[in-house]
Amino acid sequence: MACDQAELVGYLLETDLDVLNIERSDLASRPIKGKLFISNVYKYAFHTERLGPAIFTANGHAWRDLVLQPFVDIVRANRFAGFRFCRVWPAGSERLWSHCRENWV
Amino acid sequence: MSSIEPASTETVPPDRRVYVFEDHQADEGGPRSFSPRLVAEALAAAQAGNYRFVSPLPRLIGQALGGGAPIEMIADDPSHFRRGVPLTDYCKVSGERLMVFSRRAADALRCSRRTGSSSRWRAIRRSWSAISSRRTSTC
Repeated sequence: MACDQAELVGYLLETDLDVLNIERSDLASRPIKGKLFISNVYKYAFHTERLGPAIFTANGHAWRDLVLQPFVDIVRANRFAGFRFCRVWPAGSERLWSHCRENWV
Repeated sequence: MSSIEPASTETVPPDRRVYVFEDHQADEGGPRSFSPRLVAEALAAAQAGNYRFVSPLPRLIGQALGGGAPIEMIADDPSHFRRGVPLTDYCKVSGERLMVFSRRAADALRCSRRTGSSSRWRAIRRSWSAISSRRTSTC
Protein backbone atom coordinates (compact mmCIF):
# COMPACT_ATOMS: atom_id res chain seq x y z
CA MET A 1 0.00 0.00 0.00
CA ALA A 2 1.14 3.54 -0.62
CA CYS A 3 0.00 6.40 1.59
CA ASP A 4 1.47 9.82 2.35
CA GLN A 5 -0.26 10.14 5.71
CA ALA A 6 0.51 6.83 7.37
CA GLU A 7 2.41 3.62 6.89
CA LEU A 8 -0.21 1.05 5.99
CA VAL A 9 -0.30 -2.59 5.08
CA GLY A 10 -3.13 -4.47 3.42
CA TYR A 11 -4.29 -8.03 3.86
CA LEU A 12 -6.81 -10.41 2.47
CA LEU A 13 -7.82 -12.93 5.10
CA GLU A 14 -7.74 -16.43 3.64
CA THR A 15 -8.08 -18.62 6.70
CA ASP A 16 -11.53 -20.19 6.61
CA LEU A 17 -12.02 -22.96 9.16
CA ASP A 18 -14.56 -25.70 9.64
CA VAL A 19 -15.10 -24.79 13.28
CA LEU A 20 -18.78 -23.94 13.61
CA ASN A 21 -20.90 -26.43 15.47
CA ILE A 22 -23.75 -26.34 12.99
CA GLU A 23 -26.18 -28.21 15.23
CA ARG A 24 -25.71 -25.91 18.18
CA SER A 25 -25.38 -22.62 16.33
CA ASP A 26 -28.42 -20.58 15.45
CA LEU A 27 -28.03 -19.70 11.79
CA ALA A 28 -29.71 -19.23 8.44
CA SER A 29 -28.43 -21.58 5.79
CA ARG A 30 -29.34 -23.53 2.72
CA PRO A 31 -27.64 -26.21 0.68
CA ILE A 32 -26.15 -25.14 -2.62
CA LYS A 33 -24.58 -27.77 -4.83
CA GLY A 34 -24.15 -30.12 -1.93
CA LYS A 35 -22.53 -27.56 0.36
CA LEU A 36 -24.14 -25.68 3.21
CA PHE A 37 -24.25 -21.97 2.45
CA ILE A 38 -24.52 -19.89 5.62
CA SER A 39 -26.18 -16.57 5.00
CA ASN A 40 -26.36 -15.38 8.60
CA VAL A 41 -25.33 -16.47 12.06
CA TYR A 42 -27.54 -15.38 14.93
CA LYS A 43 -25.71 -17.28 17.58
CA TYR A 44 -22.33 -18.94 17.41
CA ALA A 45 -21.32 -22.31 18.81
CA PHE A 46 -17.90 -23.67 18.00
CA HIS A 47 -16.01 -26.90 18.14
CA THR A 48 -13.59 -25.41 20.61
CA GLU A 49 -10.98 -28.08 20.04
CA ARG A 50 -10.72 -27.09 16.37
CA LEU A 51 -9.91 -23.45 17.09
CA GLY A 52 -6.32 -22.34 16.67
CA PRO A 53 -5.53 -19.56 14.19
CA ALA A 54 -6.00 -16.19 15.82
CA ILE A 55 -7.96 -14.63 12.94
CA PHE A 56 -10.26 -16.51 10.63
CA THR A 57 -13.63 -16.86 9.05
CA ALA A 58 -15.85 -19.83 9.81
CA ASN A 59 -17.43 -22.35 7.47
CA GLY A 60 -17.46 -20.12 4.43
CA HIS A 61 -19.32 -17.30 6.18
CA ALA A 62 -16.76 -14.99 4.69
CA TRP A 63 -18.08 -11.58 5.59
CA ARG A 64 -17.79 -12.04 9.34
CA ASP A 65 -14.24 -11.88 10.64
CA LEU A 66 -13.51 -13.71 13.86
CA VAL A 67 -10.55 -13.54 16.22
CA LEU A 68 -9.40 -15.31 19.35
CA GLN A 69 -8.62 -13.76 22.70
CA PRO A 70 -4.86 -13.32 22.06
CA PHE A 71 -5.61 -11.03 19.11
CA VAL A 72 -7.91 -8.92 21.29
CA ASP A 73 -5.34 -8.82 24.08
CA ILE A 74 -2.65 -7.42 21.78
CA VAL A 75 -4.95 -4.74 20.39
CA ARG A 76 -5.97 -3.70 23.89
CA ALA A 77 -2.44 -3.75 25.25
CA ASN A 78 -1.24 -1.45 22.49
CA ARG A 79 -4.36 0.77 22.57
CA PHE A 80 -4.75 0.52 18.82
CA ALA A 81 -7.59 2.62 17.40
CA GLY A 82 -10.32 1.41 15.09
CA PHE A 83 -10.84 -2.13 16.37
CA ARG A 84 -14.10 -3.38 17.82
CA PHE A 85 -14.80 -6.79 19.26
CA CYS A 86 -17.87 -8.57 20.48
CA ARG A 87 -17.43 -11.87 22.27
CA VAL A 88 -19.54 -14.63 20.76
CA TRP A 89 -18.00 -17.75 22.29
CA PRO A 90 -18.70 -18.58 24.95
CA ALA A 91 -21.80 -16.55 24.46
CA GLY A 92 -22.48 -15.65 28.08
CA SER A 93 -25.93 -14.32 28.73
CA GLU A 94 -26.42 -12.82 25.28
CA ARG A 95 -28.96 -14.74 23.24
CA LEU A 96 -27.99 -13.40 19.85
CA TRP A 97 -24.63 -11.92 19.11
CA SER A 98 -26.12 -8.97 17.27
CA HIS A 99 -27.78 -7.93 20.52
CA CYS A 100 -24.41 -7.22 22.04
CA ARG A 101 -23.61 -4.62 19.40
CA GLU A 102 -24.15 -2.05 22.11
CA ASN A 103 -21.44 -3.70 24.14
CA TRP A 104 -18.48 -3.62 21.81
CA VAL A 105 -15.21 -3.83 23.62
CA MET B 1 -36.10 -17.32 20.54
CA SER B 2 -33.14 -19.60 20.61
CA SER B 3 -33.08 -22.50 23.02
CA ILE B 4 -29.39 -23.04 22.56
CA GLU B 5 -27.53 -23.19 25.83
CA PRO B 6 -24.36 -21.13 25.90
CA ALA B 7 -21.10 -22.76 26.84
CA SER B 8 -19.91 -21.59 30.20
CA THR B 9 -16.69 -19.66 30.42
CA GLU B 10 -15.30 -22.53 32.46
CA THR B 11 -15.51 -24.98 29.56
CA VAL B 12 -13.70 -22.80 27.03
CA PRO B 13 -10.00 -22.06 27.58
CA PRO B 14 -9.38 -18.31 27.74
CA ASP B 15 -7.21 -18.30 24.64
CA ARG B 16 -10.04 -19.87 22.63
CA ARG B 17 -12.65 -17.30 23.35
CA VAL B 18 -14.00 -16.05 20.03
CA TYR B 19 -14.89 -12.50 19.12
CA VAL B 20 -16.56 -10.95 16.10
CA PHE B 21 -14.14 -8.36 14.82
CA GLU B 22 -15.10 -5.18 12.96
CA ASP B 23 -13.67 -1.76 12.31
CA HIS B 24 -14.91 1.12 14.43
CA GLN B 25 -16.51 3.39 11.90
CA ALA B 26 -16.76 7.16 11.93
CA ASP B 27 -20.52 7.35 12.30
CA GLU B 28 -20.16 5.48 15.56
CA GLY B 29 -17.39 7.65 16.92
CA GLY B 30 -14.48 5.77 15.41
CA PRO B 31 -11.12 7.16 14.30
CA ARG B 32 -10.32 8.60 10.89
CA SER B 33 -10.16 5.85 8.33
CA PHE B 34 -8.55 5.40 4.91
CA SER B 35 -9.85 4.70 1.43
CA PRO B 36 -8.19 3.77 -1.84
CA ARG B 37 -7.70 7.05 -3.71
CA LEU B 38 -9.02 5.72 -6.99
CA VAL B 39 -12.14 4.37 -5.29
CA ALA B 40 -12.82 7.71 -3.61
CA GLU B 41 -12.34 9.54 -6.91
CA ALA B 42 -14.57 7.12 -8.83
CA LEU B 43 -17.28 7.48 -6.21
CA ALA B 44 -17.12 11.26 -6.29
CA ALA B 45 -17.24 11.27 -10.09
CA ALA B 46 -20.23 8.93 -10.13
CA GLN B 47 -22.08 11.09 -7.65
CA ALA B 48 -21.28 14.27 -9.58
CA GLY B 49 -22.25 12.72 -12.90
CA ASN B 50 -25.21 10.83 -11.49
CA TYR B 51 -24.17 7.52 -12.92
CA ARG B 52 -23.69 4.10 -11.41
CA PHE B 53 -20.59 3.67 -9.31
CA VAL B 54 -18.37 0.77 -10.29
CA SER B 55 -15.57 0.20 -7.83
CA PRO B 56 -12.09 -0.17 -9.30
CA LEU B 57 -10.95 -1.95 -6.14
CA PRO B 58 -11.16 -5.55 -7.40
CA ARG B 59 -8.91 -4.56 -10.28
CA LEU B 60 -6.53 -2.73 -7.95
CA ILE B 61 -6.30 -5.71 -5.61
CA GLY B 62 -5.69 -8.05 -8.51
CA GLN B 63 -2.95 -5.84 -9.85
CA ALA B 64 -1.31 -5.47 -6.46
CA LEU B 65 -1.36 -9.20 -5.80
CA GLY B 66 0.05 -9.78 -9.24
CA GLY B 67 3.05 -7.64 -8.51
CA GLY B 68 1.78 -4.43 -10.04
CA ALA B 69 1.36 -1.01 -8.52
CA PRO B 70 0.62 -0.72 -4.80
CA ILE B 71 -2.83 0.51 -3.83
CA GLU B 72 -2.69 4.19 -3.05
CA MET B 73 -4.57 5.07 0.12
CA ILE B 74 -5.75 8.45 1.40
CA ALA B 75 -7.13 9.45 4.77
CA ASP B 76 -10.85 10.11 4.56
CA ASP B 77 -12.16 13.67 4.47
CA PRO B 78 -11.54 15.20 7.92
CA SER B 79 -14.86 17.05 7.76
CA HIS B 80 -16.57 13.68 8.27
CA PHE B 81 -14.92 13.20 11.65
CA ARG B 82 -14.76 14.82 15.02
CA ARG B 83 -12.03 17.41 15.27
CA GLY B 84 -8.73 15.97 16.38
CA VAL B 85 -9.76 12.37 15.94
CA PRO B 86 -6.69 10.16 15.35
CA LEU B 87 -5.93 8.13 12.27
CA THR B 88 -7.09 4.58 12.61
CA ASP B 89 -4.93 1.53 13.07
CA TYR B 90 -7.45 -0.64 11.26
CA CYS B 91 -10.19 -0.26 8.71
CA LYS B 92 -11.85 -2.47 6.19
CA VAL B 93 -12.65 -1.31 2.70
CA SER B 94 -16.36 -1.85 2.34
CA GLY B 95 -17.57 -4.15 -0.37
CA GLU B 96 -14.31 -6.04 -0.47
CA ARG B 97 -12.29 -8.12 1.91
CA LEU B 98 -9.35 -5.77 2.03
CA MET B 99 -8.15 -5.27 5.59
CA VAL B 100 -5.98 -2.20 6.11
CA PHE B 101 -3.72 -2.02 9.16
CA SER B 102 -1.24 0.54 10.37
CA ARG B 103 2.24 -0.87 10.17
CA ARG B 104 2.59 -0.85 13.95
CA ALA B 105 -0.63 -2.80 14.41
CA ALA B 106 0.26 -5.29 11.70
CA ASP B 107 3.69 -5.80 13.20
CA ALA B 108 2.32 -6.33 16.69
CA LEU B 109 -0.27 -8.82 15.49
CA ARG B 110 1.80 -10.68 12.93
CA CYS B 111 4.93 -10.84 15.01
CA SER B 112 3.22 -12.27 18.03
CA ARG B 113 3.64 -15.98 18.37
CA ARG B 114 0.15 -16.05 19.79
CA THR B 115 -1.46 -14.57 16.71
CA GLY B 116 0.89 -14.50 13.79
CA SER B 117 2.03 -18.03 13.23
CA SER B 118 -1.09 -19.93 12.32
CA SER B 119 -3.36 -17.70 10.24
CA ARG B 120 -2.86 -17.11 6.56
CA TRP B 121 -2.80 -13.40 5.90
CA ARG B 122 -2.36 -12.66 2.26
CA ALA B 123 -0.47 -9.43 2.11
CA ILE B 124 -0.70 -6.91 -0.64
CA ARG B 125 2.59 -6.41 -2.42
CA ARG B 126 5.50 -4.57 -0.77
CA SER B 127 4.06 -4.75 2.71
CA TRP B 128 4.51 -8.48 2.57
CA SER B 129 8.21 -8.36 1.86
CA ALA B 130 8.70 -5.72 4.53
CA ILE B 131 6.92 -7.71 7.17
CA SER B 132 8.45 -10.98 6.09
CA SER B 133 11.95 -9.70 6.44
CA ARG B 134 11.18 -8.16 9.78
CA ARG B 135 9.66 -11.37 11.04
CA THR B 136 12.69 -13.40 10.23
CA SER B 137 14.93 -11.02 12.09
CA THR B 138 12.92 -10.05 15.14
CA CYS B 139 9.92 -12.30 15.59
